Amino acid sequence: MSDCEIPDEYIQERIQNIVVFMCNECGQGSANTAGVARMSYDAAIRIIRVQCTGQVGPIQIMEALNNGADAVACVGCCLGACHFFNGNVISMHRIKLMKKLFKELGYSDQFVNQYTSRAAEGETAVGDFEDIIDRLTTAIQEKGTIKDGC
Amino acid sequence: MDVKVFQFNGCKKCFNETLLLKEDAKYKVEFVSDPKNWKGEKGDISVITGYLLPSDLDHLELIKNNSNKVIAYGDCPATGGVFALANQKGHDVTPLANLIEGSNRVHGCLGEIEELKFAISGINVPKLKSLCQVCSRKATCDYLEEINRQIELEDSETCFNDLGFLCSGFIATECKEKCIDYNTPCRGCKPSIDRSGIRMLAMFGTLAGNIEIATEHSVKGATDKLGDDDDDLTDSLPDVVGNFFRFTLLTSGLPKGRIPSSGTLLEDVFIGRLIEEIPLITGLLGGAKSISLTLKFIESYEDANQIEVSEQTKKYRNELLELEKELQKAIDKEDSANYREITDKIRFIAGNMNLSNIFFSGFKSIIDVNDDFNEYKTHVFDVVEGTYKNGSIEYTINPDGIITEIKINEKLL
Amino acid sequence: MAVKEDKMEESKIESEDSEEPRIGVFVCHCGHNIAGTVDVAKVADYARTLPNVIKAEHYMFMCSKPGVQMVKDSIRELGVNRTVVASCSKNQHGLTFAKAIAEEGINKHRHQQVNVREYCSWVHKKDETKATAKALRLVEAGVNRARKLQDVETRRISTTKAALVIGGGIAGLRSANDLAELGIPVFLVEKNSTIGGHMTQLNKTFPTLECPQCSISPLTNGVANHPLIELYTNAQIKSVEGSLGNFEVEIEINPRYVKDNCTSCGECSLHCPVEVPSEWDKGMSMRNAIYKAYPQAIPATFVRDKKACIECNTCINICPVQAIDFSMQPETKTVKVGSIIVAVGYSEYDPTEIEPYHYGQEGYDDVITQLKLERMLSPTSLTNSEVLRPSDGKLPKSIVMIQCVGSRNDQVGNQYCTGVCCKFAIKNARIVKEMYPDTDVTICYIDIRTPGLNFEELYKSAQEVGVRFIRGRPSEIIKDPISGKLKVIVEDTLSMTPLQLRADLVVLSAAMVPPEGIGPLGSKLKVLRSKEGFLKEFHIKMNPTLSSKGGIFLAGAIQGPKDISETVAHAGSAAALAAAPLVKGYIEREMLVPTIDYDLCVNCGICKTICSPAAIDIDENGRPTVNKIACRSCGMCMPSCPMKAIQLINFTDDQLYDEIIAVSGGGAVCE
Ligand SMILES: Cc1cc2nc3c(=O)[nH]c(=O)nc-3n(C[C@H](O)[C@H](O)[C@H](O)COP(=O)(O)OP(=O)(O)OC[C@H]3O[C@@H](n4cnc5c(N)ncnc54)[C@H](O)[C@@H]3O)c2cc1C
Ligand code: SF4
Ligand code: SF4
Ligand code: SF4
Repeated sequence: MSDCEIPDEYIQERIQNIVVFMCNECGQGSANTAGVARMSYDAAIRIIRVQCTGQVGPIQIMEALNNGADAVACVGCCLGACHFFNGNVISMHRIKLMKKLFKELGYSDQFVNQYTSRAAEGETAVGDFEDIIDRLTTAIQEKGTIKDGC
Repeated sequence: MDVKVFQFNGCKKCFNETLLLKEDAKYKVEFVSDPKNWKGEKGDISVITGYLLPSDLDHLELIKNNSNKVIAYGDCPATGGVFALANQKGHDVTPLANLIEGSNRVHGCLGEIEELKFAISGINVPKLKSLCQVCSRKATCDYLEEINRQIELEDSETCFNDLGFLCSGFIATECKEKCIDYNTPCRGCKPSIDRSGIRMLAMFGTLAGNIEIATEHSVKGATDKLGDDDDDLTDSLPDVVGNFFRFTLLTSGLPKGRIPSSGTLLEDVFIGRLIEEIPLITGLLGGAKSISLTLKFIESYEDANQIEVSEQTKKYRNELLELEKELQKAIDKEDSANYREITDKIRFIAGNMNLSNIFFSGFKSIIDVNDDFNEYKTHVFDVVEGTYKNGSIEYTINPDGIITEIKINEKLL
Repeated sequence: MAVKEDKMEESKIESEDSEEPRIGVFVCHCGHNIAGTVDVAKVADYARTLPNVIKAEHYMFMCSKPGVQMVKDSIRELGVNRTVVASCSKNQHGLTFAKAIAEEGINKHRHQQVNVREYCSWVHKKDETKATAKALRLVEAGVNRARKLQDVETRRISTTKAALVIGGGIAGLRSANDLAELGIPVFLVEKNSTIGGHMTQLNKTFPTLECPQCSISPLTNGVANHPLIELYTNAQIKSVEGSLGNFEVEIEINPRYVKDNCTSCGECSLHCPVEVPSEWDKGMSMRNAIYKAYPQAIPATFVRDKKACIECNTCINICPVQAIDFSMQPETKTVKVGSIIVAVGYSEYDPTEIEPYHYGQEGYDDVITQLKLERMLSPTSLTNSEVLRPSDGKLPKSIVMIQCVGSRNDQVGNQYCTGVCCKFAIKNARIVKEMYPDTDVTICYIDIRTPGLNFEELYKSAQEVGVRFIRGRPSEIIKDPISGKLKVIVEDTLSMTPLQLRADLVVLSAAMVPPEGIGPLGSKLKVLRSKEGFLKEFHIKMNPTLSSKGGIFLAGAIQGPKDISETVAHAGSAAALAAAPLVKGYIEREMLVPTIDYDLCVNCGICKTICSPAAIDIDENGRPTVNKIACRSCGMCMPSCPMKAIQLINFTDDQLYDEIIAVSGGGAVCE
């Protein structure tokens, strides 16, 4: 890691592509609600529909990162409200281990995350998206992402 | 058939093992322990042992150009092996995975000589079973109550993983070393699937689905999210890299490590590892000196923490040290018959050439059926922070049992 | 689409697709909704360049008749066999197009909906360039995904028209009755000798202080006499096999040792020499070895307690109708049902573990629980409905009730609020105070929780008759070594005064906890439990009556503490849900299920661990098998498998990979 300055505009430009796996239930629901309410968020956010966040594994997350994603997140139902009992929590366990892995390798742990949202409230999804970008920004500033070795 | 064996860097366990090729008159074996000064002469088969660095690739190229077939023997040349853990700290151990065709790679730490013979003759290895299929332990299909870094050796029926004790048997094929037979969990040196470390991470993370994890309220989303704080899950798995990716750090599609180096490549392999994993790691990479290296590690810790060691244990340990000396002689003389005899004796006590059976305070499985196992059976030991030394090694562990500093006299290898 | 009837044999659900994928892409303008932000022409042009895309068009309103016709025509005229429509969400019009292609003979699962409205144009209104760039990626991802989509068949499974209800409390009775009224035969299994559950033990029920016997007896009688309900008392579930629509259940029935011709005259028990404390009466009275739990008990047939009986044969000889038969044997009955309702209720928390309250300890007989107080007050009690101290049978001059015993406590008992105890404590306090105006009645509480219609009124009415409320959780009950009197130590947290309350009788408002034996029952049913031990509902809001497993429903307090009104409503909902597939006669299931590659599988069993509806079982060879009817298509088994051996159709790792590379590609890589 060197200590070259990272200007804000660079970060703006830098964030191109964030893969968000959203479950078929509250995840998708809240993103749809956000759309219907014409809320706005960064166009870098790209949603992939899965049955449940429990369906997303570290393999998928690594594939996204290795193919150019700046950050990856899963958005599922609220804790205790997973439509498949505990898919969201199980996924959190795996993502937590990935965060640990990235830290152990000397990277930031801020570019893989998991969130929850409420189908009826678009702002929960949008808030999650903003948080993803905030965390990614932190990671970039700390030069902790996979791409930022400049 | 003329076979040249080239030893690049790291431990010489596999290099030494190729001595066994000499048992078969069919192979005319030549050992090249200093490939950098090898001048290059046409040959048939070249076997590469040891790990490679970018600076070795020119030499490899020379070897390639001068042989009909190049075979990577052992995990180190094939995938980077255990030495690749140094890449966590920015080193450049380079796997041949992409340079050498799949069938010409013999995985394993130690690689199996029979498989090497198959590779030499160009015959595909018969399909192997998975390690779990040859394991006597059985899955319970329950979530874990807790994750354990050490276990008491009471239950011999339940899958290690179900005891909360990480074992990568699921992604491994059956092997000769079979650590699992010596109450030692598999760390996956012979993976049967790509990106095995990541898959084990997914599997074990799932199994740990009931362990408390940190969640926090997301201010923006006004809902809960996965938290960044340490939690029971991360606390109980302090070394994800070392335990899940022991042999596959370079072939798992992970980015190269950026932890600053704090020593030599060898020392960097150790830093970050867990005290209870040390005997197996030293067993892996000590080469012909693995026994003394392993015992130095163990005894320094035992002495400092007044861990009781029985006479029987000491007796077996001394026998092993004697065997180590004899083994070196056999190797020096390139005497394959003697080599086999001595390694068999080492296996009898230490379980395998990775020394899986050796542990703090004793041994992990019964050595001789006539023994009273209780006389040297190991028990869960406490992790005590501190600096330990014995002869040519000195290491420091933190309160979590993680090695934070280490100095090894490389002559030991 | 063709619906196959009852095709249950194990076959790989895979359409062997020899044909080349021919993909049609349709980009919708949605008026200006999409086209105003996203350059739809550019998207269609780009789509045309992608492999296997035969046709790519954009159109004003894809969901309109002509739009749908475009999709259909592409199938008919160009042989398109997979369609991608980039328009609104899957929820909005995904089905419209899926149906359309099905009408053209293409399996509806070969349609891929790409959402460029809610996920793109509507949320990136300000940035047309970026929105278009994103739409390109989304459409490419859709095309990639469509390429390997496979047919998913829909199966029709006929259901067994019968239901099993486990537990004969108010919840079980309500459910059983509702099901039977819908014409569904019901097997009702109750582990005790009588039905009615806890409600029959109560004295009066809040908020109206009604007589519970009067409310419940029409139901107990109705159920006992219903021609479609078969009642098994003294019975337990032995095993459960199968999945929704078709279960096979073994019931183990212990004998009553009294035949059905018993006239309930009571001669036997009158002459029985053995006396033991009555369980039903919470030990507040005695019963004989041959007995009826209480006068109104249903079934009215007497029952012999084999353990207590000394086999003196007195009763056999005295019974006027020779109904008593000691040779009766336990029997096992196997029944086939389509739905199961679990209504095994709750147990009262046992406060013995709370050391400072000394419940159940010698010398502390006057510390009792609310359920015991209910028994004392009840019309049939030994005390003649008087409140008398167990230690000396005297009328207490002061009664202290302690709330949240076993509830709302992080250290001991449970974290949750039972939610019912405030109400029953207030009820009992008021009743007692009205009976004995001279007796001091005090309730020590942390918070009083009386929400909902009528309950605040109940609270007020208790205050009005003079019940005293002290805010504070008592730390200890002590016994004065000299006088032997009990004292409750509590700090009044409103006035910050430490108090020592004299108490002739202490009544603990114990929590409602999961019933005994729920562990084994839960594992037989393969349903999941919450961390508190109750059976876990499918979804706390949207489906609080379905269990984690299809075809098994929850009624009443087994899902979590409830009062009677809530229990009855819950039980009715369970009955309706359980009845639906049985009345209809079949269930349709899309076979969106995983397949297992046994060459890869290493029998680790994690797929079984994680499968919440218990759709995966381990066969006798240790191999996992998928029950396609029980599977809920969540895909959670996939990433858990260390060997990539279990793969959910149309969501396989490969298929997801194709989508991921399209979506994640195109980001600038920092040099
Ligand atoms: C002290 C007290 C006072 C209360 N007062 C009121 C009140 O005034 N008003 C009000 O609305 N609510 C009151 N309640 C709550 C009320 O008791 C419950 O809401 C109601 O009884 C729940 O009914 P249920 O059918 O779910 O459970 P239960 O009444 O517990 O019935 C469960 C039935 O299942 C049977 N069973 C258990 N395990 C098995 C098994 N393994 N196999 C087969 N059968 C089994 C049991 O024997 C029982 O018959 C009070 C509760 C308490 C503790
Ligand atoms: S994971 Fe390890 S312990 Fe478990 S069955 Fe496989 S080899 Fe045996
Ligand atoms: S998809 Fe879900 S429900 Fe189906 S078998 Fe896998 S884990 Fe079970
Ligand atoms: S998780 Fe995979 S390897 Fe394990 S039993 Fe299931 S299918 Fe087999």
